[in-house]
Amino acid sequence: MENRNLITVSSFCTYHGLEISFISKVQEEGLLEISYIEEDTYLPEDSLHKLEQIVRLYKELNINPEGIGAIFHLLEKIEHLHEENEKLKTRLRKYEI
Amino acid sequence: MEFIDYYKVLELERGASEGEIKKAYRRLARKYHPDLNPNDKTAEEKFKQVNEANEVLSDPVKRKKYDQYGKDWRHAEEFERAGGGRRQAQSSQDGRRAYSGHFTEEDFSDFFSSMFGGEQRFYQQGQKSGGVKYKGPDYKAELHLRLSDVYTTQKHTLTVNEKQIRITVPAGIADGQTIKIRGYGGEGMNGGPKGDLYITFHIINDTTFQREGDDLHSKVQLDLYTAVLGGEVVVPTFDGKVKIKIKAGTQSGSTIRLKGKGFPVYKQDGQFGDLYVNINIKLPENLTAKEKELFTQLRDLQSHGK
Repeated sequence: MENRNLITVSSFCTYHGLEISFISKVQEEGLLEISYIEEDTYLPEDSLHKLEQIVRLYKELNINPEGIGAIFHLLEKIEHLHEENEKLKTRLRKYEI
Repeated sequence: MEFIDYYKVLELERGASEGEIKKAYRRLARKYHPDLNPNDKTAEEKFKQVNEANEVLSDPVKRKKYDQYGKDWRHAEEFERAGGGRRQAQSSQDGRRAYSGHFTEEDFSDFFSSMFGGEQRFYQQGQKSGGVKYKGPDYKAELHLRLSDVYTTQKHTLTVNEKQIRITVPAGIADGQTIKIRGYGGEGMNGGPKGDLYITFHIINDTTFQREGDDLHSKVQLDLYTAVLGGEVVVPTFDGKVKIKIKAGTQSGSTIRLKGKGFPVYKQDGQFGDLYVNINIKLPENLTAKEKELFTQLRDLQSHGK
């Protein structure tokens, strides 16, 4: 079985000066996965990168979790369009050899 | 070192109020924030400028100094020596909002450092309660490689924050692909794990092939006679030349697929994409009288219905 490093939600919130309810809201938006072990809630270590991005958007730009949800959706769309654009550019270059 | 017009950066008039500065900063920070503009170097640069402009203009002491000496920043040092500046020791403690995830003081311009010194810590480290372990910051790096380099698995040494890192780049890595090297980021706090290093690859095509995913595309010129009568032609592939058969009556613009002669599939040893060779037929030029006569005969044959 693969081992996953977990971080307690409370340590993360203390470090970033956040209310624990913020993490719950982010989870409700479907942006995050939380593990429950006995009484404690944990975040998988590999979700830290995304979560820190969420915290930056929240703290630095005053965007609420709903807005962040919308942003992530649009960013995914942009990435998809960017990939599509790159593919098309590559295809076009074939005709320029 | 150039003078930076912080008012211009924030798109403001010199007499802008505190509220206007705040508003302008918020608006521009949203526009250029790196999390909203991934892989956009121009936005990142602009964001740094906006951040720096705000650091100065939102602080009355710094703003006063900037307004007084900004255009003639070299005199600011004399100002400091005269005791007017009192080196803003309080500035790192004032709890101003900052951009912890992206920038350190190194990201501020030389102009800024020369005016305000390098002692500021603009990024918050959060509330450091003792004993809790925190993961170090992640680093980002870029590696530019040639297409011919990534045809095979190669080892590369790169320097990140003065540390040499030797990495193995698997054959077939894609342009724009990012890989994570665990534990090569910044130091953790209170014995926490190190951050990770994210390397984005930029592949420069130094070949005549066009890459599309794992497939390669190339063009070959065929003489009219081989196209009409069939024959063989030698075409270059990524790892040498191959002889391919040309069917009689091959049309210009048709494509021949050479299976397994494309690019290696990332992390799938021994698997390759295909090579698509596009045929371009070159018509004979400067015909001799004899050739012209024979072509005319051919045309007549065609038009008289064989």
